[in-house]
This record gives sequence, structure tokens and C-alpha cells, in this order.
Amino acid sequence: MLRIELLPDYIGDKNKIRNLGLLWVAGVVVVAGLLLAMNSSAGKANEDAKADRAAKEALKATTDKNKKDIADEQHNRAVIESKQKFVLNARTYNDGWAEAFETIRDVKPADNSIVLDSMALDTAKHQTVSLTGFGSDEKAVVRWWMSLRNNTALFDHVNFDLVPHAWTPVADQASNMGGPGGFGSGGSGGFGSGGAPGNKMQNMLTAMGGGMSGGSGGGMSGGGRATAGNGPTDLEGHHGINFTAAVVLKTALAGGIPTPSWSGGGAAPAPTGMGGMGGMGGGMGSGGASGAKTGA
Amino acid sequence: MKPSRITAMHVHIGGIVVILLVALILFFGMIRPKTQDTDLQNQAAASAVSGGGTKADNKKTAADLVKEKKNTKQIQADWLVYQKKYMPDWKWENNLLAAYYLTNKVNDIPAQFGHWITDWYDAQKRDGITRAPGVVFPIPPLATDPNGIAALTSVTFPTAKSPWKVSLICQTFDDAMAHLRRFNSMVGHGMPVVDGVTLSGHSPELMLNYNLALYIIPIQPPPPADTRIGVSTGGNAGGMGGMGGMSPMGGSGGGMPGGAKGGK
Repeated sequence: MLRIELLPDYIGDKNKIRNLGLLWVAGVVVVAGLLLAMNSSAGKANEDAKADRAAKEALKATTDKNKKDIADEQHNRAVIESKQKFVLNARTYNDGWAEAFETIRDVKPADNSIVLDSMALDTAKHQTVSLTGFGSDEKAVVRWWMSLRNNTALFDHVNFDLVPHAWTPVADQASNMGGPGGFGSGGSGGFGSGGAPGNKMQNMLTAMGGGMSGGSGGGMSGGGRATAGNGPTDLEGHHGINFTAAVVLKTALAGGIPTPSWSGGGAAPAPTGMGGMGGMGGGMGSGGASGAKTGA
Repeated sequence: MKPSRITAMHVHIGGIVVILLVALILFFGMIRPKTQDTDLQNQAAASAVSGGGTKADNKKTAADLVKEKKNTKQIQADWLVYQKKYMPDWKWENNLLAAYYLTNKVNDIPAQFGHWITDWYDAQKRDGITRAPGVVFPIPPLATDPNGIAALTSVTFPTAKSPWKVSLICQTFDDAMAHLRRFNSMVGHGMPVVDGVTLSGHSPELMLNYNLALYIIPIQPPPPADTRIGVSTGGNAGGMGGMGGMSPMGGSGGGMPGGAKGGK
């Protein structure tokens, strides 16, 4: 049987539109519900973040207080600490000198092929020891140089100043015109008196009784570039050579601390119109013990 | 009845508009402010963490604080020991005139220290150490007038700028090294500082040269200046002292005394 729609079209459209409207209302409700759920989730996350922030700021406040207490502690003791450090550094510094010199003494060959004549540390960094001394021959000096050079535990750099070898023809020396001078080796000085024979001078500076004024080479200055006083010489009848050396210690004097000083002012504060100081003590007496070495 | 003019298209558009409006209102009115605030809270929390807001930082700083307090105690204890060992016990008299001339005899301290240091060196003759000829230990006045005591918060002998230049004759290398190690054992005469040590020559006349200064940090602070003494009238400045003589024996320099004291 054929069904015939007798109602006008708008009757059906009205129903459709109502249903469509209901569908959209449902959609709005769903979307609103989803968004409200999101809102709830965001609110919870926000509350958690606030709580987390509060907790972390409380921890930071505790840390800050601890840091402030540390700073206060350091500030309150600063004056005493500076005094204590000064004395501590001064003690270390004072002892450092003997340690530095003994470091060199302890690495000197035991066979006395090397006799040291002077030692001093550089004034800026207190790390370079300047040495002058006498070697039984050039090989002995070079052997010691190699030994020091290989001692990487104690020394950074080692340099010896030795006279380079050259050859000057005899004919030229005899010329009236005066050729190039002989290579200036240090002239051997006279020996002083005294000197305990056979005293090995505690492994270090062998007793020589002074003398040996290592003059600055008797010859004309020739091709050599040796330091004044370096070169062939005699020591107590033994032929050898004088040398100079610079040894850079691995660790500077007293660990490299600067010269301790307490900056509290001098002994004599000077109000206006103070009287002048009397003369200081006389100059050092020259000479002194007979045979004291003056050269090198 | 008049047929409705609302079509399906109208319903669709209306639905979309309503959903959009609801979504926008809910998102921008409620959700977004919360997420933005959450971001701010998280940033602040991260900043607190980077600034030490963690339990580990708490623990570390607390441990550091305990350590610092311990250090303070150790430093104070060390200083008390050093102070007792090295620093002279100068108990200042508040009456500056009495302190200068009568009780503390500040005027006599240079002579006392000069004799003491000379004796300290001479006592080492038996240890193979002899002062080279001419080595003496001059000390200028500690304070040039009683009110000068007020400035003695610290004292350097002989002066802050020029230490004693000491030259010694040592029997052996070991004697010289033992001498250098003896400075830290000085008692009650300030903290000695040895500098510029050089060694030259040979036994038994090994020359040891160095600079020496004694640093004194008085245990008590000095009393303040007395305004009732030392009236300044702008007098003439004092003259310079004479230079020390170059006596081989190294005697006292014989410098001329300074000019008249001004302003007294």
C-alpha cells in the first residue's frame, strides 16, 4: 500500500529543527562539561603548584638563613682570623726558607764533584733558586744538570750557564794587531786561609775556607757568552769550572704565599712636628772573616 | 498558522555560536587564568630551587654552618695560642703620661726589644751562629709622645717599611738552617718574619743574609689620646735624622738628632 504524506512539509521540518536544537543543546552541555572538567584539573594543578612553591620557598628561606648565618660567622671572626692567618702564614714562610735550601742540598751529588757557593731565591715569586758553584769538570756539572732536569717531582725548569767551547788559532793570538781575545774564563782567585780540611760541609757547601775570588775572567772577551766568573778555575788545587744556575722549584716557597705582613703601621706614628729619628746603625762592616769569598 | 522561518541552517549556526561562546567563556574566564597562575607558581618554584630551595641545599648549608662554627672555635683557639706565645703582654695604663714615662715605660720599649734581640742572636754563638761585624738592631721610638700610644694598635720593629738587614756567619749549612727554623720559637716579642734569605761562601764562614721584622699585635687595644696633653701650636716640623755611619764595626750611626719637637 502506498503511503501518502498528506501533512504539509513545514510540519515535518518543525520536528526536525526541534530535534536538531536538542542535539546542539546536548553538544553544548558536553562541551561545557569537558571544559569544566579541564577547569577542575587546572585548578588542582594550580593548587599543587602553589603548595610546591610554598614548600620550596620555605626550603630556600632555610638555606638563605643558613647562608646568612655562615656569612655572619665569617664576618664576626674576620679580625681574629686575619691575625691568626698572618701568624700561620708567617710560621710557614719562615720555615719555608730552610726547606727550599735543603731541597737543593739534598739533590747535590754526594761525591762532592759539585761545590755550591751561593744560593738565593728570586724575590718576586720565591720559586727560582739562583746558584753559583764549582764543578770538578764540565761533565760533572752537566751530569748534575741532567739529574735535576729529570727530577720532575721537585723542579720545573733547570738551566746552567756554562762557557761554550770555541777554538782560537794560535797565530791570531800572536798578531800584533790584536786578534780576537782569548775566551774569557774566570780567573781563579787566591785562596783564603782556614777551611777545615776534609769537612764535607753537611753534604752541601763544601768547606773551602773562602778565597776563590772568582774574578770576571782575565782574558779578553772572546766569543764565549759566559757569565762573568764562569769558566775554568782551580779550587784547592783541583782544576774545574765555575758555573751559575737557575732552578725553578715545582712548589714555590711556603706554597707560594706572599710575604706575610701585618698592616698595622710602623713603630713610630708621626704626629705633627715630631722630632727626627736618630741615625740608624752604622753600615755593615766589610771584610769580616779572613778569606771570605767576595766573588761569584 | 504561519510557517516557521527557522531553518536547520539557523539551528546549526546558533549551536556553533553557543558552543563557541560557552567554550570561550569557560576557557578564558576560568581555565586559562589557572594555567597561567600555575606557570607562574612553577617558575617561582624553579627559581626557589635554583636559589637553594632543596633539601640537599638545606642539608649542605646546615653542614657548612656547623663547619664554620667549628672553624671559628678553632681559629679563636689557635689565635689565643699564638697570641700568648708571640705577642708581648702590654697592659696599657689609661693615664698616658704614666704609661709613657712610669708604668708601661713605652719610651723604654725600643731599648728593651733591641737588647733582647741582640741577646737572642748572641746566645746562638754556641750553635755556630755569629753576627757579622756591624750587625745591630736599631729601633726608632715607639711613640714620639704620650698621645702616640693611642696609635699603637699594632707595631712593627724596627719599622713597617724597613726591616733589619741581618748578616750572620754560620759554621755549617745545618747551623744556618737550624737558625732559620728557630724564629718560630721566639716567645713574647712579636711574630718574626724572615725574608730575602741568601746563602753564600763556605764553611766555617758561611754567610747567611736576610731581612727580619717583628710584628706585634698588642693583646689590649691602646687607650684613646688624652686631649688635655699635646696641644698643637703648629710648631716647626722636626728635622730629618742623620744617616747612619759606615763604621766597619757597625756601631751606632751617630746621626744628628732631629729638629726641635714642634707643637708642644
